[in-house]
Amino acid sequence: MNRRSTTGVRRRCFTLLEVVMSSIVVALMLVGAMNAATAARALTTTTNERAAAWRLAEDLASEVATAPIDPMHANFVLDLTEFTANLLRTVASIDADSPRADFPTIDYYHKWSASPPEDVQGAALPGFDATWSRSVEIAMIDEVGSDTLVGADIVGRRVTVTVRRRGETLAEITVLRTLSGDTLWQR
Amino acid sequence: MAAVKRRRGTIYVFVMLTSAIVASLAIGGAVARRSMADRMHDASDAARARQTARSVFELALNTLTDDDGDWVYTDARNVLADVILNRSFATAYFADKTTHFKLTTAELPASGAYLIAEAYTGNARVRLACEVTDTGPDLHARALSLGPIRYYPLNEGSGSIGMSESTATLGGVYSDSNISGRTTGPEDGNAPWFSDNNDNAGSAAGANFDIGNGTITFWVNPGADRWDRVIAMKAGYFSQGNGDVVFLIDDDRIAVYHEISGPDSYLVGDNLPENTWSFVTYSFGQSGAKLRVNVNSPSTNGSFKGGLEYTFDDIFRFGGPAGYDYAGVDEELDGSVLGFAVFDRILTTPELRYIYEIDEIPLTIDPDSTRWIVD
Repeated sequence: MNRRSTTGVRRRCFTLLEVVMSSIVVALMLVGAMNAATAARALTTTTNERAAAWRLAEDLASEVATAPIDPMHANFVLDLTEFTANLLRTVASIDADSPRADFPTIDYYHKWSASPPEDVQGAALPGFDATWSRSVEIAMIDEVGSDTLVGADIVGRRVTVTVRRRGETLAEITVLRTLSGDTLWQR
Repeated sequence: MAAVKRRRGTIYVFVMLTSAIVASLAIGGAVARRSMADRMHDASDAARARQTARSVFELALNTLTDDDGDWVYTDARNVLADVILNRSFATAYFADKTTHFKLTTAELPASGAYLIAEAYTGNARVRLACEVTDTGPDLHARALSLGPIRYYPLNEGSGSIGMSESTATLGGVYSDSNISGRTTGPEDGNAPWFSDNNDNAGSAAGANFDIGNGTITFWVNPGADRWDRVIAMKAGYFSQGNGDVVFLIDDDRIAVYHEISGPDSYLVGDNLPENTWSFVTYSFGQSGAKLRVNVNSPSTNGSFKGGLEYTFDDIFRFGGPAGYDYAGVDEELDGSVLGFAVFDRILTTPELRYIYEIDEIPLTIDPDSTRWIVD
């Protein structure tokens, strides 16, 4: 009687194995789902950051690439070191706090950087904190767009804009600019 | 027994359904975010391609213009420039304005064309199109705009070479011409080629006028034989007299003989390179005479005082003296003359340079036509 009664109770409940297996299945699914959700969230963050970085990079690249090349500087003996860039700014009475709107020619952008990123008037762009930075490098190029040296046939500039966050490069874009383009990109 | 089986089955279904929902949500979210990431990559590809297209556009413009911004014709097969940048490749070429087909040569049609810069990066293809026209005034328009009293274009179409003697506009017919061929002059102006064998052309009406102070400008392209050749002259058919002016090549150099009723002037200027168009200017008057090639430093005769004097039935004759021995020079020109202008005033150096730099800023780019096409 007791045996039958015990057997009847067993039949009304789950076996230990069934409970364990169900728990394992649910746990595995939850862990996988959590991992997927975490990865997706990280991917979203990275995607949004990179998208923002590309917008920042292209905006600044377009701005620099439409700046005129001063014919006086076209074949200027520019080694384009930071010293030369500062010298240029000094000659034009442009100090470190001057906004980009004051830059008369493309060469003044060389070695320029700002953190957090600024608009052309020098105001910090909303949505970006000090972990973000934008910087510009300018090099001299020959007629096929290759970097060249002072004394060679310099026809323009290579502009490289880099956007970083916490030191990591999120976007880097390069655009070439020649004297001939002054006709097209006048502003 | 049956109730227990139903309960157990319900639990199984619940567990499996919950797991499936969780898994679906996770996988769906991941797929959606991956799609978002792909779109971001497409956007960054497009940004790369735009800047690369812009770059190749700049290089193409640089190919088409020289250091002074002047137009340069190229023989390239319509690959004006190409560049690899931003992990993308870009090329620039001319396309027909109507059909948008790529042109077969890099020469800009008179009606203009689209300058296309095309760049590829990953999934993005970007094209930058801009209308380009060569609208700069040609050498005739420039000279005529300065008001010459006589103008001989010498680039009229096949057949008779013509112009109006009196109104300094195109039209009319030269009195005689025996031209061996034509050649292309500056800014694609056609010019007759005088073959040093009795080829010459004379103006139809007499060049009968008085000029106290004046300037003569013309283009000349001498051939291989450059030893004592007459380029152009204002002189009578049968006599040499006061008021005559003769441009000649004196041992490869430009020279001008100017005869007046006083001390004559003979100036020798710079070298005239073979098979090269040179721009010759000669100014004269009470302050002396100046002869220049390509508006360079002049050869001067400060003591000369004289102009072009009236002599009956004088004409301007180009390409040779037509059998008329002038000061020992009776050789016909081997070469071309183009755009012969006579002014009754001394042109300033900027004015001379205006005529000389005929291809200055001929390239017109319509910024309003600039647009991006992203595929």
